[in-house]
Amino acid sequence: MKISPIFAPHLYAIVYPKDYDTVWNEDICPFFEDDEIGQIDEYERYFDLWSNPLFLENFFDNNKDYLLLPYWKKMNISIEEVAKRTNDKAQVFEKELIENQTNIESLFRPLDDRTLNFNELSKGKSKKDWLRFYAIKLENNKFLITGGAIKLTHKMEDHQTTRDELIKLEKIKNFLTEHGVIDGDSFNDALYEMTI
Amino acid sequence: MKANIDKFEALVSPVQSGWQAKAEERIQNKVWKDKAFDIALRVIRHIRANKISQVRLADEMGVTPQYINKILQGKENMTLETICRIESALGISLIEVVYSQTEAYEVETSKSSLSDTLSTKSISKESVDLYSIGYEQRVA
Repeated sequence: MKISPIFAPHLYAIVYPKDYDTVWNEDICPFFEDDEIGQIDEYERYFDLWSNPLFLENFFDNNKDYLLLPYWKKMNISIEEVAKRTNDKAQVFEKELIENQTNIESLFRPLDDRTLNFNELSKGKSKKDWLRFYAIKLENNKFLITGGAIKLTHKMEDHQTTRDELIKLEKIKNFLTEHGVIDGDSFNDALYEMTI
Repeated sequence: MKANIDKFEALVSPVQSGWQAKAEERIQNKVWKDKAFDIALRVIRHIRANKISQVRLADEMGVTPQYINKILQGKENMTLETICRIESALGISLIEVVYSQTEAYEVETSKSSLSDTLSTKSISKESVDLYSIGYEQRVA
């Protein structure tokens, strides 16, 4: 496990080892060069995936039943459109991060919506969309990205992709605890997410 | 939760992330990359719907499957020749030149004008070729 600086001293991201198959599995590895597997951090890895038409088409086609859920259904969006829009959103996301790299705090919000549903989002309470980065807040304006996702369901527990992200958060909690960075107390309060 | 920042900093790799170079490349090449994305997506949906493998498409085009995979991942800045070969192999249209109404009018006017000139004056072949080239450049 390594930690890569993204916008030091404000934003960092985890590099998962090659043998961690929650991240580097047979569905994901074909989208990367051999020398990238186990070497690139989660920030870089997700922007690679979100700009890759083959990955996005494959992801949304494999999950096309989820596009029938109310949040997606009311958009009446095809697989082509959702893949294209995801790529467009990723570009906006990346630009926003670069422009706010010294004020990362403003982009994160507490991960209090592990049970929040998309219906609430549509009522104008938030401009949240389906791309996510998940992170641990170490102190004010200092975050460690543990992963990301294309969020398809109301609850993180309701889809394998976001369930994996909860597992990764727990794994990094243990990693940081073992190295004396955190003591694990009030860990849930330190969980944050970023979206556009 | 209180974090020990010194211990955290000690864990940070001295190796810089590769994100920045990739982000710059994405921004710098946005125009063609967006087109490459659209073309790739169209091809991916077509070959999925028609159960055509990447290997078969590669065979049809006389290129390697690795090259096809690179195209489908939106990483290849394709030439017009490559795009036309994909269109031919799959029997689909990927790019079209769209003329505005004004341009279409100019095209028609230019054609008539050239036709009038040719019918009323003796004009050398070289002059016609030059006129055509100028017209094509202006439309492009």
